[in-house]
Amino acid sequence: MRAVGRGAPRVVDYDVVVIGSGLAGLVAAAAAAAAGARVGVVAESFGGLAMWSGLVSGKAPAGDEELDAVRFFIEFGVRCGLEYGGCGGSRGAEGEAAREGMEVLSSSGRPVRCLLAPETVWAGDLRNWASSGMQADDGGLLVVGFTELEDYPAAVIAGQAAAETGVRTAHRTVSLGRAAGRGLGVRIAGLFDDPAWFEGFLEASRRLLGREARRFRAVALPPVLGLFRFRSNLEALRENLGTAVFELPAVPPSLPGMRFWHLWRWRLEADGRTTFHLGRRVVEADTHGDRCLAVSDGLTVYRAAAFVLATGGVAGRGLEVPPEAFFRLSKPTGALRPGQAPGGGPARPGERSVPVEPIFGLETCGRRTDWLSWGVRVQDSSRPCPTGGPANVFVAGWQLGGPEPDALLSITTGWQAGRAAADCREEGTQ
Amino acid sequence: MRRLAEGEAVFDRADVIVIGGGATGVGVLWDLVLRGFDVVLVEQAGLASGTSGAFHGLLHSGGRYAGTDPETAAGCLAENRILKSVARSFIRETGGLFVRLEEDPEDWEERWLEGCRRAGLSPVPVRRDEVLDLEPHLTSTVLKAYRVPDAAVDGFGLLWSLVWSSVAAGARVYLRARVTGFLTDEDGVRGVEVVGLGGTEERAAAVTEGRFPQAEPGEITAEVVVNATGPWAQETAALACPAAAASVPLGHDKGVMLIFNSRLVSHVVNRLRPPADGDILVPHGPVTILGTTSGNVPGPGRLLPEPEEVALLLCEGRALLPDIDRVPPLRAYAGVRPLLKEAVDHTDPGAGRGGGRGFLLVDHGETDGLPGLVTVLGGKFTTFRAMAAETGDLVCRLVGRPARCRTAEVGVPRLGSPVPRPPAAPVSRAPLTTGAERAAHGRERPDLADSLVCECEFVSSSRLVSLLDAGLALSDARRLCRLGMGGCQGIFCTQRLAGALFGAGWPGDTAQPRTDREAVRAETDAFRRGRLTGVAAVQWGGQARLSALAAALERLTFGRPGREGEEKVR
Repeated sequence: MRAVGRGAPRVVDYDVVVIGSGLAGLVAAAAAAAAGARVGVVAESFGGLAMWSGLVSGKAPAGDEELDAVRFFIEFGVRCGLEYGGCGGSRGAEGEAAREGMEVLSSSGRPVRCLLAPETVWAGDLRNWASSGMQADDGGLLVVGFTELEDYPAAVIAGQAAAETGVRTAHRTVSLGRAAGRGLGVRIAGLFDDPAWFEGFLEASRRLLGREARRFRAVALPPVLGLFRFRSNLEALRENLGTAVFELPAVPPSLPGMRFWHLWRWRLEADGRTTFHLGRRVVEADTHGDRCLAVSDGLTVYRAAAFVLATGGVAGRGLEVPPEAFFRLSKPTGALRPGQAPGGGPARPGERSVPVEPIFGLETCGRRTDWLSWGVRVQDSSRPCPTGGPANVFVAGWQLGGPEPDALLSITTGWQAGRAAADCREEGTQ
Repeated sequence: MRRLAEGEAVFDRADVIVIGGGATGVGVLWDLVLRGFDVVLVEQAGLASGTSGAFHGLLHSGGRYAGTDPETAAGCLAENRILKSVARSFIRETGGLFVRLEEDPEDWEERWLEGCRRAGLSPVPVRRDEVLDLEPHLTSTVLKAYRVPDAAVDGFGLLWSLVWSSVAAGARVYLRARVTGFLTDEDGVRGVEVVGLGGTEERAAAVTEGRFPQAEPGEITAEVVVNATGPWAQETAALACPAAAASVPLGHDKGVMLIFNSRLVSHVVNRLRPPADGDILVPHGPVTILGTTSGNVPGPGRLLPEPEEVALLLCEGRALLPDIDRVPPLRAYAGVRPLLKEAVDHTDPGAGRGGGRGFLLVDHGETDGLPGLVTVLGGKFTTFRAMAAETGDLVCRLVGRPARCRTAEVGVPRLGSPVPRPPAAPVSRAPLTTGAERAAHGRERPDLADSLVCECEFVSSSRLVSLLDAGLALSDARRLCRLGMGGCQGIFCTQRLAGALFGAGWPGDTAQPRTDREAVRAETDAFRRGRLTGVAAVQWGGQARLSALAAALERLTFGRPGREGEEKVR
């Protein structure tokens, strides 16, 4: 193992090292820590979570293992202070909630089906609305937008929602004042986390929306109501406006995903078993026979009994697609003249073309579906194949690819990989 | 072909009808307007929606053709100089470099220099170390380099400016209106039958205020009809009679271009070797276009860039720019060159670029006994003005009204400047739409709270809506203000586009709200689909990442079905 910089590299030891701190990485870290392992998380930043609307979509969980994973996810979320639930926010019989699913509006104005949603969108479950047989004069939905948030066109959302769902809708766009600046939800969320500013907003919202809002069954707001104080803010708005209030999933940068990252990370650190090494990119792995002994970011060497690879897919920069891989997958390049096949020429000395494979040189495969989809080939329990590869490396999340990766995949594979990695530690000590 | 009844009511009448809204047709329109003719232009889709909207935006100096066809090279050089003087605001004088790499044949260099000399082009040798200073991304295997006056041209802006100037002088331009037949009388061709095309873009049936009738064909009469439909020239001539189609020696040659999301070179870079695939790089604003391939195709149908064509381009591009794999590709697109038949009749599939960049003027009165119909064929963007000038001369002879060509003297107004009224023009019949002029000026609608629709290209909602108000279809407005042409290719701006269209009460306040919604949805979906076709062939590196992100967002956040999902619904 080579280290950049002078002197010997710093070495740290864990039971399990999780590479990546997106949804799959955090779930894997939590699962491993819950199984008693000391966990190190090595990651650049919050990965794909900055793009995540917060909704858990996918096929309804089948089998006990997937249900266990969902149950674990819901229970740990309660401890983090960010609750997830199924139909209408009901936690049902724990994991069972995800079987019924939910239908929520998104900022395109079209309904999105999901299995679980964060507490901030529960009041927007359209399936509850449909079943109550709402009349035109009985409620309806008021879509409120902020002038400063251009990616949330209240008029479009209200119009599309009416056409798609038959619910009566209206829209209103209010200004947050000069403090909001322009555009970024993250910045606006910062205002909502400021109690003094929020007092003023409550005042204004009562004045601007108060009488009107009460006539609606619910008010939909952009998902920017605070990175930390969202629960109390929603509660205060509900009381103030006299009707249900919820956040509508919108385009990135996405507050619901960042909330998730901050709260889960805080809980994991507070529990005392997990250490985060952030701003680090793993560039090397030290393997011996069928075991990986350590990984390194060039400055620090992380040793562990098992590793979870949760660096994300193509979208999350966990996998790079070189042109050769694309052309190989898309069509035989019969039109090329001999000796001109793309990538046919040797790379120049000292230059390594970027492989689709990540640091462990695992076998990847691509599928041609709606989009080209890439991922690491695995056998059961997140273990990469072929079997010649390192036996103590587990792959989780969108690194696995699949034709249509979704959040449930990250939760179930993260949970599986975290537990399997924790089990490795026991094997090692025995 | 239908015989015109005596005293038949017509929708419009003019001296000359030009069919086709590409560079050739618009060039002829401008030429004839400056000669004082009353002209109508009819285009089946949007302005520059065919070949002129899918070239690499290179204003040739002639260097490209010097080795194979010094005559064409000389023509290019002359036009290069004229356009640089009359249409300066649409041309970026990047200058061009011809570079010979180690693997390129040496004898070609001598032949090329000889051709340049014959064409009147004097390439300036550049020292090898100086080349790498000028273009640091270029391969270090450059042996020799020469400087030529190549340039980058904004074809779309140039054509719109010519159209607006012509409309200001009284011409009428009907977009999305298709010619379905010719009208004749005893003297020959006397006009055309036209139907406006429906669909969501119906609103933009005309740039002038007169809308084209939808259901019934409308008649436009004139003394001469000019067929300037490029790759559709044969089809159009066939509407008159089969003999007319036979007199149009047209071949179709497909070219694919690849855009990179970075300005990789600051000059137009050509390889000094016999013209082949992927050996031109043209810088345009923040992007670079790598072109082109060449291959016979049967017709002008909807052509998509195929992955193997893109692979070929990339492979050749590496020879010039070794690090090109690391640059995020933006999209690939395909166009059809309408070439004179003899140029593509060779067995060599690459012969399309070998020669034959000349053009042909067919007077169907002489060839097929159809006086009053003229077809202008072939050529290239760089020489469109010269083609128009010769066509104008022929029209003058046919009508018997001599007038001098003035396109080499009269400046083309930049978009946003007051449109000068050519003194020779007749009194305007159809008033200029003030909306179009205002939009061209970039003035914005004051009643709208302004916001940014497209962050990549800085398009504000009021700019977009003012263009739509001026009667442009979304697809025209999109090209003109470059909406969605940047890095995200519509992933983030589609949503804001819908917001802007809704916010403006588009399309029109009289429509029922429900129609509004469906129209906006149809337009935004079409917008996004249009962007998707261009990125499908470049799914590697940064574009693969964006596409994966877009697919995830559309499925998981927006509830939009993927393309697979749509097929299932159908």
